[in-house]
Parts: sequence; structure tokens; C-alpha cells
Amino acid sequence: MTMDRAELIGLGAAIGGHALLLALLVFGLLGSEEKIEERQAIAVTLEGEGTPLPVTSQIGEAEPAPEAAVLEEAAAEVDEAAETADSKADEAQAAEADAKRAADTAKAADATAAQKRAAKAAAAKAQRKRKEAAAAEAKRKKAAQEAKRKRQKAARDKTARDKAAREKYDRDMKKALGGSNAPSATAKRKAKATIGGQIRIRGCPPGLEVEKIITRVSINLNKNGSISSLSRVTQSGKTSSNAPQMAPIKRCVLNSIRASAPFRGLKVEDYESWKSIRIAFKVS
Amino acid sequence: MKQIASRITAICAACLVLLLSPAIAQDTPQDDDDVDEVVTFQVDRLRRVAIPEFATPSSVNTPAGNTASLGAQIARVIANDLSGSGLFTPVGPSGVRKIGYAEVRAPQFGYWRGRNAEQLISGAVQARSDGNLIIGCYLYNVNAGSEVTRSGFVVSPREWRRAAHKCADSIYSKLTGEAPFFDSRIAYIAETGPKGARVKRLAIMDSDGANHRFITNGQTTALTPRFSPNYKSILYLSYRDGNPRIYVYDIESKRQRLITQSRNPTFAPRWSPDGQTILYSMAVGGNTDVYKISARGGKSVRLTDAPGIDVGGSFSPDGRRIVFESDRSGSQQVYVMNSDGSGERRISFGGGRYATPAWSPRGDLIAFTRIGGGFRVGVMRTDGSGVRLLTNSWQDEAPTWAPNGRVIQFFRTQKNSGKTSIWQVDLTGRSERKLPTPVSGSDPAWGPVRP
Repeated sequence: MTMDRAELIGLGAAIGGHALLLALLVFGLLGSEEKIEERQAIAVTLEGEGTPLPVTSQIGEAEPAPEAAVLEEAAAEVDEAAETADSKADEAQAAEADAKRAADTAKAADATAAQKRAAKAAAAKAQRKRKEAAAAEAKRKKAAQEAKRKRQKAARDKTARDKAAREKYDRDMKKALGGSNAPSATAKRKAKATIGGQIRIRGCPPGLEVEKIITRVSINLNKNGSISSLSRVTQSGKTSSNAPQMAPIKRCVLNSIRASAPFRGLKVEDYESWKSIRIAFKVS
Repeated sequence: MKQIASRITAICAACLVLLLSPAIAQDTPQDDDDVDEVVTFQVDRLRRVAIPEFATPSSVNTPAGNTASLGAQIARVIANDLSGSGLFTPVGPSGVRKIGYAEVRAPQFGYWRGRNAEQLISGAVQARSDGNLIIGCYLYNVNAGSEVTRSGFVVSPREWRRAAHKCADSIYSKLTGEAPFFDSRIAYIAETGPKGARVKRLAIMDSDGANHRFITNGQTTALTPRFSPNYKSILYLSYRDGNPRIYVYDIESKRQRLITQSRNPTFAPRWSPDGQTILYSMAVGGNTDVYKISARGGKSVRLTDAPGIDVGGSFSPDGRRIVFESDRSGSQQVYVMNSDGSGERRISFGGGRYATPAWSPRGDLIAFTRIGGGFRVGVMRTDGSGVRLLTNSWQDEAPTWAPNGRVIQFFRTQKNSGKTSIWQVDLTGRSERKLPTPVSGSDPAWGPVRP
């Protein structure tokens, strides 16, 4: 079997292409290693200096400030209402002057019937303008009140956003520095210890190798320290000798937890930290 | 080239890690919720179990006494059973408020909480028009205000104690997780007379010592009784014709027969778990080996043939293996073999000698007597590991298992008087108690739970 020239060129091109691809892959992989080193350097910076690089971009400086737009909008509404009220007041004042002039003319020069009608019309127009001016003034006051309400709301929203941003910043900082991303891991640990210290396990019978049994329970709590539910009950440490005691120990642990509630000494402000905690129970 | 190859290898490993990472992530704790706060606690006898006298709707006379009196006695039997198990210190019935019939099924939980009770056992006795009794018992969780378990029995008046044992069994099982054992019987050797001229009689009784009965009259010495699994007969060793030989005693007909016609001494009898086979030992010309024979008779099968004294112990609960003792190594040690005699293997290697092995009905442990610096009863795993001594007296020996495999009976000999008594100990070794017998007792053998 022989190959013609075109086939030889094709084969050569294919081999050359594969060789090139392999070389690219190898050098590409070298490049990957350098990137890993760069990332490690960033990690060292975070741990050593505490620079919150990964979190500053997430805190929200670049986010729009909705309260500014709201305030501008409210101010514009007030300005518009004020402008309307002012122009209406001017118009009313002008109409009033016209009406007065017409009345004076009618009085002073023993006016004709036509002049009297004109004076009467001018007076009616002046009254209408006064009413419009009063309405415009009322609208201006209302717009001012609305603007004030919006300013107050915007201020409240800003406070809440600032608080959330601060908390998020704290969480991100803890995470970046190797801490927990929980709302407050310390508070949770304290709450676990507080609750664990109040649970008295009673009524568990002795048995062979019962000390190997570990029963874990998630205790879900209400804000007043009472139990809303017990969940995720798991047991480990089962042997052929202690197998019969698994169920009685689970039962007495759950009964004892219920009998120990409500739990005291828990801070309501840390509720998010202890509303659901997991505790392990073990025979000493 | 080598460098490139190593880099490629490293990258392939990294790729593998990436491929596996979802699985790894699933097994990794996701938050600090998985960091345990560990609360430790101690287990002890259950002390807050209240047992008032059983109530009756109206006191009716029966051959066993009136139902009101029976109610009080049943509560006492239950309290005694639970206390004797070593796991409970019940309160009552004496000193505990009597309850009315309506209160049996509607307890005043507030009252019992006020008395610090955590469990309440209540029940009732009612006479039926057919002369039988209805005995019902209830276990309540006082704190939760809920029923935990209940059981009820229709029995003839003379069987009221069995109903009480059954109630105690159901409560014991529910609270400890263990299998029941109170409604069972014990065979033992009743000993009377001075040390040098002991009279040894075969006797049987309930597990609590009640309903005691002598089977033999003491004219010939009886030893090592064993209840058959159906309680209809007892294997035992008798010196009836001067030689120690094994007999089967039929409890109903009160007749007995030799299991083999051999004139050689036979001893250490034991039933197979199904009651179809009898294991025994026979001494022939200074050599003792283990044999088995059908319970219906026939030809014996020799299972061991090593020089020395091999003494049959007992079957495993599945009947497939046998534990026995042998001095073939120079001192008594425990061995295990298949039920056809194959696969013999020594399992005890600790200091001292090991004798009278008995396989637990649960199959997980072997009880034994360790000889060396006294006689002590202990247990080991079936491979010989985990040796634990449960008693520490001058002479404790011959362990026999409760049907649930969690309590062991044995007999104890006093140092100078030689007086013997029957004791039991639970597997923790913490709860030891003497069984009441009308006379001195030895060689106890526990039968199965009665149907």
C-alpha cells in the first residue's frame, strides 16, 4: 500500500498539528501553575493583612442610590407645585386689579350698562382666579408634605441598607479571614453551651457498650426559648452489644430535651444564631 | 521530558480531583452547625418508676384470692421483677397512693409529676364470668402525659403470676430495649445436710424463685440439670446406680430414662437449641470426649478425639457450633468447633484456667468460669477477645444465661461453710443479687421464655 503526494502532505500536516497541540497544552499547563501561585499570594495577603479585597467590591458602593432620585423627584414635584401656585396667585392678583379698575371706572364716570357688565365680568374672573390660586397653594403644601415623607422614608431605607451592608461586610470579612460565614458563630456556640448546660438526660437504662452511642438532635427553638420541634435525630456507634439500647436511649434523650425546655439565658437579638442548633448526646 | 511527564501526571490528578469534587463536597460539613456541642450523661437504674397496686372494678373472690388482693400482689411481682433485673429501682406498691379503676387508663399525670415520677405502671384485675381473670397493665410517660405501651392477658386464677411476669417483661423490654426474660423457669440442685454428707436434689422454680418444686427425693445425688427448650423434660446427671450417668426426666409423667446404655460415666449434658440433639461428655479409659446423640435415642457420635479431658459446653444459638473446654494444652481452656466436630480452635489464652463455657442465647458472648486465684464468672466474645470478669467472690462458677442473653446466673460457695447459693449478675457486672431459694442451691440452669 502506497500513498500519493497529497496523502503524504496531509499526514505530515496532521502529525505536525498534533505535535503543536501537545506543545501548546504543555506550555498552557505551565501557565496554569503560575496562576495558582498568584492566587496563593492573594490568599496570603488576606490572611496576613486583613485586606478585604474580595468583599469591598461586594459591599455596594457602585450600587445606585435610590434615595437621591426619590428626593430629586420629590423636590421637582414641590417646585412644580410652587411654580403653579405662584403663577396662579399672580394671575389672581392681576385679575383682581383689572376688576378693581373696571369697577372704579364704572363708578367714577357714571358708567354705561356695557361698562357695568364689563366690571361685573372682571369681578367674576378675579374670584375664579382667587379660587385657582387657593387650590394651587393647597397642592403646593401637599407636594411639600409628600416630599418630606419621601425624604424620611429614603433616610430610613438608607439606614437599613447601611446596616445590611455593614453586616454583610462583617460576614465577608470573617469569611475572607478564615472565619465562619454564619451570622454570628460565637453567639451560636455560646447559645449551644447555654442550652446544653440546661439539658438533663434522665431515664436512660444501662447496657453493654452504651457509651459508644452518640445521639445527635437538631433543636428548633422559638424566641421565648421553648421548643418548636426536634428534628434530624441521628445515632452512631451501634455495636452488636448495644444495638438493643439504641431506641431506648433515643427515646430518653428526646424526652429529656423536651422536659428541659424552655431554655433560659438566650439573647433575643441573637435569635438567628440559636433558632436551630444541633447537639450531640453521649453516655459518659 | 521527565519534568513534563510529572506535570502531566500532576494535572491528571488535579482533573481527577475536580471530577470527584462534587462527591467530596457532599460529605463535607457545610457550616458550623456540624461542630458538636456534646452533652454527656450517665446511665443508671431507672429510679422514678411508680407502681401503685393494680385496681379492680369490684372485688371478686377467686381460687387465688379476691381480685383486690391479687391487684396488690401483681404490682409487687412486677416491682420485684424490675428491681431484680438490676436496671430499675421502682417505687411501690407500698407507700404509693392506690388508684381507682377509672384512673388506670386516665392517670392523673399532674399528681405523679408532683411525686417526681417519670414512668407510671398501672393496671387492673377483673374477674370474668367464665372464672378466668383479665389482667391488663399500662406504662405511661408521666412528663409527656402519654401511654408508652400496654399489654393484657386472660389467665386462670392460678396463673396470675405468669401474667404479672408478662407485664413486667413488656415494660422491661420497652424501657431497656432488651428481650424479655421474667416469664421463665430455672432448674437447680437443692442442697441440704452437713458439708460432708450433702443431699442434692433436683428442683425447679420460676425465675423469681416462686412456684418452687423438688423433682427428686435426694436418695441419689443429682447434678447439672438442664431444661429442654419446651420445658417438658430435664436433662440431669444422677448417681442412681452408683455411676454418674445422664437421664432425661419427663416433668409431666415423672418418668426418666438413660440417654445412652453405656456403663461409662456420662456427664455435662446440654440440649441443642431446637431440642433435637443432646450434647454430653463420656469418660472412656481415662480419656474424656464430647459426644452428641439424638434426643429420641440412637447411636452416639463422637465429636472430639484429642487425648485429655474434653467436656461438652454448649451449642451456639444457631446450632452450628459448639463451645467446650479441654485440657489438651496442659490446662483447662475454651475451644470452639463446628457441630460435626470439625474445625476445633482454642479461643481462651489469658492467665488461669477457663471452664464451664456457655454460649449466650444471643450468640454474641460466651460465659465461663475462670479458675486462678479463686473462681470467677466472666464473659468473652466468641473469638475469645474482650474477656471481662463479672464477679469477684471466693468461688463463683457454672454460669447459665437468661433467655435474653443479658443476665447470668451462677452459684456461689461460701469459703468455710461450703454453703452454696444462686446468684445472678447483669452483663455490666454492676447489679448482682442473690436468688431466694428455700434451701442452698447450686448448678442453676435457666430455661427459655415461656410461650
